[in-house]
Amino acid sequence: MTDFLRRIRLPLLFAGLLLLTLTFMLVDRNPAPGAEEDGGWFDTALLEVTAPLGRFVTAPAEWLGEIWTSYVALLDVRKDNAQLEQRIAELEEENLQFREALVASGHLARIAGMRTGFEVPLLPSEIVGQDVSPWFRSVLLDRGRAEEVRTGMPVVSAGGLVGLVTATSPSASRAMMLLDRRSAVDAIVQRSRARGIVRGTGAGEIEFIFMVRGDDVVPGDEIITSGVGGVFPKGLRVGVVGEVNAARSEILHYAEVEPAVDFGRLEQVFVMLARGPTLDLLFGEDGDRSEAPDADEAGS
Amino acid sequence: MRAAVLWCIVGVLLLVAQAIWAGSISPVWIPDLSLLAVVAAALVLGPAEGLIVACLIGFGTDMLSGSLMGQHAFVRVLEFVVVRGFAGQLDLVRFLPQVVTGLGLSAMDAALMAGLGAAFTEVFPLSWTEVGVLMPRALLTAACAPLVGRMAIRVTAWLSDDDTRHEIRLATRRAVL
Repeated sequence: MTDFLRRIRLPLLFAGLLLLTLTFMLVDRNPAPGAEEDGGWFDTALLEVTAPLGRFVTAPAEWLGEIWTSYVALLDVRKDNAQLEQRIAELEEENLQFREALVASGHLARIAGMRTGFEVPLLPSEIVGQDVSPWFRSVLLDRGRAEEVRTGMPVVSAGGLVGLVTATSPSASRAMMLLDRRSAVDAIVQRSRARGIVRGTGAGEIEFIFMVRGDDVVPGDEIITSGVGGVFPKGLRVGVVGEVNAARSEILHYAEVEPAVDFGRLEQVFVMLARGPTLDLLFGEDGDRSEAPDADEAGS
Repeated sequence: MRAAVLWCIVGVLLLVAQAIWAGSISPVWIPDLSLLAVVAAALVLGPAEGLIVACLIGFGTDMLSGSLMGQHAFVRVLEFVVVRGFAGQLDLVRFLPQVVTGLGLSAMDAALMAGLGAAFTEVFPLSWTEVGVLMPRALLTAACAPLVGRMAIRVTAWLSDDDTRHEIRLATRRAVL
């Protein structure tokens, strides 16, 4: 009996480990009801350990980068300044025209009244780690549940939409970026209001898939979140349309999108401290969960 | 046992290093250090402790990645078994077999990740574009395999010298008898 057990010890261990990992995957795919209130201890512990360590190790690189941007990169500042002044002048003129148009149509007062309803507090957060796997695109943030960060909150930068918080611990959190293949955001073309979905391709790019044939989408169009789906607020910049692939024979057309955010150089982001009504329904108003909502849940 | 604990620590450190490098370099241009840690564990650890270490390294990768919990762990356990299988047929301490094994495991890693992704999340189409993107990483991982393997053997021999001496003594006796 002992010999038999010794003989099957390794196959048993192998089968047991495979079973264990499969069970973890199934549980993670379909979390049990009520398990969403707080992060799992293992995930929480790892986020807690990794975030400060990441900050410590990346500090020298950031210091060198700071020297570069503060001194060496200043060589081009005069040229940039002239360009920016010209751009400001153009924008001021454009802004004036928009204001005139709004006043003329009587919408300005109404929009000013609505503005308070859209304002959401933004929590600045540093990126302290990136995804170790090329299959997924997520980042580790140095803010967590202690600062009211919850799963499902949008993450933005000065450029536009970055992604969505998918896991939290008391002092760190993980966010899935738009580039992740599981990311899906309901979006519209700002100019023509053509609606579609922005998806990550998994290869470091995003694409805009629009369904209605004949929709007016041309290269250079700005894409913003539509707010439909209740995950992301309306009007966040997503990117600019690149090449459009609209073969007449296909029902689904798609366009390459140049992201509004330079994901390769992200250092600081902002967590919007309010999440959409859909995710509040999913998690409960104050609830949270340790892992990512899948693509269907994440799409807004 | 000491070697297993050591290899667990090394695996975690490699993962953290990979996470930090990924901040400044695209993950495509960083060798899959956790896979290399599993290859090295297969070379220096026994089958039982190696299986557990591979599983733990996989879970560590899952923690630092947006994958499903257990996805990388499942893949790493299978990869460990494959390396042990190869080690029984080939002299995996040598350069070329290690490079070939590293390349093969990278391909296996991609296929398994795509398969598991398709099975569990249904959003894992493995396109030719992605294969092209993953190719540099696979080549880099394969190129690093001999280096990591050699380092693992030396470090383990240095730290767990009791076990190593025991093995050498038995081999000598066998030859004399």
